[in-house]
Amino acid sequence: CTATLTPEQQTFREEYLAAKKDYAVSGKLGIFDEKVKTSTLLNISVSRPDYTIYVSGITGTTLLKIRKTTSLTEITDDKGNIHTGSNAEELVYNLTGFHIPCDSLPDIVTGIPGNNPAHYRDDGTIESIEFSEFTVNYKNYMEVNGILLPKKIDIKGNNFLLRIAVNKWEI
Amino acid sequence: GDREVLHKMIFEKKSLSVNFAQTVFSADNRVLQEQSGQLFLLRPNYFRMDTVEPDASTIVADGSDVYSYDEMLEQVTIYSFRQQLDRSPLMLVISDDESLWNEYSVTRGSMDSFTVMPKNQNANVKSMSLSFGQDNGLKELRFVENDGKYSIYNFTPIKDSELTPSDFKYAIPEGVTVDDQRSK
Repeated sequence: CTATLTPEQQTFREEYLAAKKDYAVSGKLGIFDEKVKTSTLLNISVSRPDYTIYVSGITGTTLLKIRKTTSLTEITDDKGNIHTGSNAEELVYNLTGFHIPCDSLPDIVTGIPGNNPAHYRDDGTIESIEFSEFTVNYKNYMEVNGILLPKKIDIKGNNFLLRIAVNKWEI
Repeated sequence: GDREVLHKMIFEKKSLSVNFAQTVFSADNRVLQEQSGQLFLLRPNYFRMDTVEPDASTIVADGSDVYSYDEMLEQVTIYSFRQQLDRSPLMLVISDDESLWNEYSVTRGSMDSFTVMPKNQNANVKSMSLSFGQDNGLKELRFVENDGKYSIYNFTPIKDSELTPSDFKYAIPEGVTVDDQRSK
């Protein structure tokens, strides 16, 4: 999707998305780390500041359900067992060995830099955002209700890579 | 009984070529994920599923093994037929393995629908239902998980072409990683 954003449009887009309380995105998540490569179906449902992340097998069966509210961090595994704690990312890593920056995902998928350094392409779209422990690359975008939203996203950490292919936005 | 009737309906059509659309719903009926593509069956044990959305992937059962190619990962994972079944209830509808079907109880609903329940209570899938169209082709498959999440596959016929085992040969693309899970 090729479109050109003026600086004003960039600012409007980022403020509009940062102010969005309820949205959902679904697609595919590829997980690459030293030992294994695996792909899953992904759904992130946000009702700021809360979110629920569904990670499912390719045929739809639940692998992980991560639910975070202001008072609760809860993970349901593929056997239906419930695990609670204070840090979603830590819980996921202990359960699966995978690095998934759960708390940052709601901002990552919409492409909101916040205070993090962002690099823009000539066409005004964000090419990458540097978070403290990983870099996010926005490879292409799709237009939804007049707003440019990421379609292909790579999240690159020291020892992991997450690849997201979005097929549906509800925003 | 109901199982024999279901078997007859499933195996009456030796081969099936359909477009599929799968929608995964949360327990509170929100759409979580959607997938679509094409599905080819040649009973027993031959199966090909080409997924287009959200990303390209292919699963081929060639009668003994199952090749799962994932374009995003640039990887082919090889499973035994049995392993793939645990990963996908969809595979049950192509199998004529009596010992496999013995793990399920079948109850006929209306004229053209059946409920299939795993006897093993810890199975992730709580129940499955299959519905058939006028031409006795599989029209819908639905499975419900223990946590209330459910998946619906809708099938629409492509064309009634006779498929043969050679349509289910799979050549591993050049340069991809091969992860052989069969011995695990």
